Amino acid sequence: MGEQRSIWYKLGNIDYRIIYLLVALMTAWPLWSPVGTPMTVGENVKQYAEHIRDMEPGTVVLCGFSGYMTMLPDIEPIYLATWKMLFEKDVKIMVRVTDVDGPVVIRQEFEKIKPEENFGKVYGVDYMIFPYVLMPTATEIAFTDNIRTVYPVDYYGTPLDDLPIMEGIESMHDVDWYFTSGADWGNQRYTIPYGVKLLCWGTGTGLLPFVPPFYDPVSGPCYGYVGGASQGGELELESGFFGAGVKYNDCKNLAILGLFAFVLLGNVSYFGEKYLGGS
Amino acid sequence: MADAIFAGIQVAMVLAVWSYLYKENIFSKVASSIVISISTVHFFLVYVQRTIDSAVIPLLNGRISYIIPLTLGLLMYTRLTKKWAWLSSYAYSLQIGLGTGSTLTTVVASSITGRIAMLINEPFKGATMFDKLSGTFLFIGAILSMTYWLFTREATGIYGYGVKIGRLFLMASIGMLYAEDVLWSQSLFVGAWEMIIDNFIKAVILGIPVG
Repeated sequence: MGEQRSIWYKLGNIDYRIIYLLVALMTAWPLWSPVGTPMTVGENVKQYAEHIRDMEPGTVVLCGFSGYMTMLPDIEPIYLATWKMLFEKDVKIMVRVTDVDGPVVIRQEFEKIKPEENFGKVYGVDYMIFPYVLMPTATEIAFTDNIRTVYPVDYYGTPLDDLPIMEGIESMHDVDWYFTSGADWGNQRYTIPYGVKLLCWGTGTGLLPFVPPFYDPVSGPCYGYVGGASQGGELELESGFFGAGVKYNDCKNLAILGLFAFVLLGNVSYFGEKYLGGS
Repeated sequence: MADAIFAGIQVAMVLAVWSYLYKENIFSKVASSIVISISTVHFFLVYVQRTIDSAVIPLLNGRISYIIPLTLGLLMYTRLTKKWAWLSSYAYSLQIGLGTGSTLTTVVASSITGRIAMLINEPFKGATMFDKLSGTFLFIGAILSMTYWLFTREATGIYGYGVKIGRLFLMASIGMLYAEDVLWSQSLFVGAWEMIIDNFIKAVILGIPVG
């Protein structure tokens, strides 16, 4: 005859597939019918948005776009809200694609935003895209020193000198802000020698644990940051450009409740077995 | 019609990968093999094209200096033979040397002196009393966390308590990293669900327009 297990043991050993199912259902529910779980906007997100709003006409912005397919759900809400905020302003936007599938993703994003139709922007005058270039350290140094040595042409093969937006922009000395996915030594290659200010955007797991030590909304080097779809939803709320981020927050909040319930159950099981006994 | 077929393929692939959560099966294996092979081919073609555009074509147009990076790149492949593998060390050493030299220009200011300055300023830079207390708490936490890595004396007495508290700060940091990872995975999960519900169930099966 098999050994009798206590209720506490059984509680702690529920089939993991039940957890998967519960989390799946709780994630899917708000996609079908939004629940509207409460959201607050963090100070770092407010500062990120505030610095964009404060950009003067003619400000030169370089965007390091690291959008890649497998991570897209976590970062697209940030990108879309930021593009819309930037296109609302009279600033010069240069996009540098930093990942191998970035060219496909950036094309899809701009097809969604429609800068010409919705914001009256003109490619080559108000914004431009650099082609994908693998950027090891030596190449990046060359890029910061002289943009044209690394990118003689834009994404569509047009020489940079033929684009009105590039007039007077030679190196990082001519750039005011750099949107990037980190603020560590690699990104400070733009701040320390050139004084470019950083605003950070990226995945939650790749950005949030590492950027805060460099964050100072007044003196930088990182003046504001937004990481992951949750904060992407906060940025949508702050900017008024609503998209998938708010919906994602709804899903994640409910799914976290499901996970939390199982964490609680695991602890009840552990302490129940330890202190209340059972074989 | 094309959109419906495309959405159907997407859903089939997602469900095939998710079926692994129940147990490993032929569908999950086929789906992951397709994704890996397509990604590999895509990356390979992009890098080959990029090398042709940025080095081979300029070389053929008379810019002789491009022979140097191309040769260094080819030297990497000498590792495939035992006899000529030593040649690859020229390419590696040049790359590592360049990387280290250029990194040192920013790494000291940003990751060493910069971080020390930030840590010292932390208790004083807050605008409110709460911010200042929070900064002081972080300052103490950082110092105590560092004590955890001192192995030259035994962690006993008051020093031992400091090490234990430092360990709690480290555990809290690691917990946050794990939580970020869970949230990130959830975002991807929600993205896949959104595709199934919006692009397939609502748009294709029920014919509901999705904004």
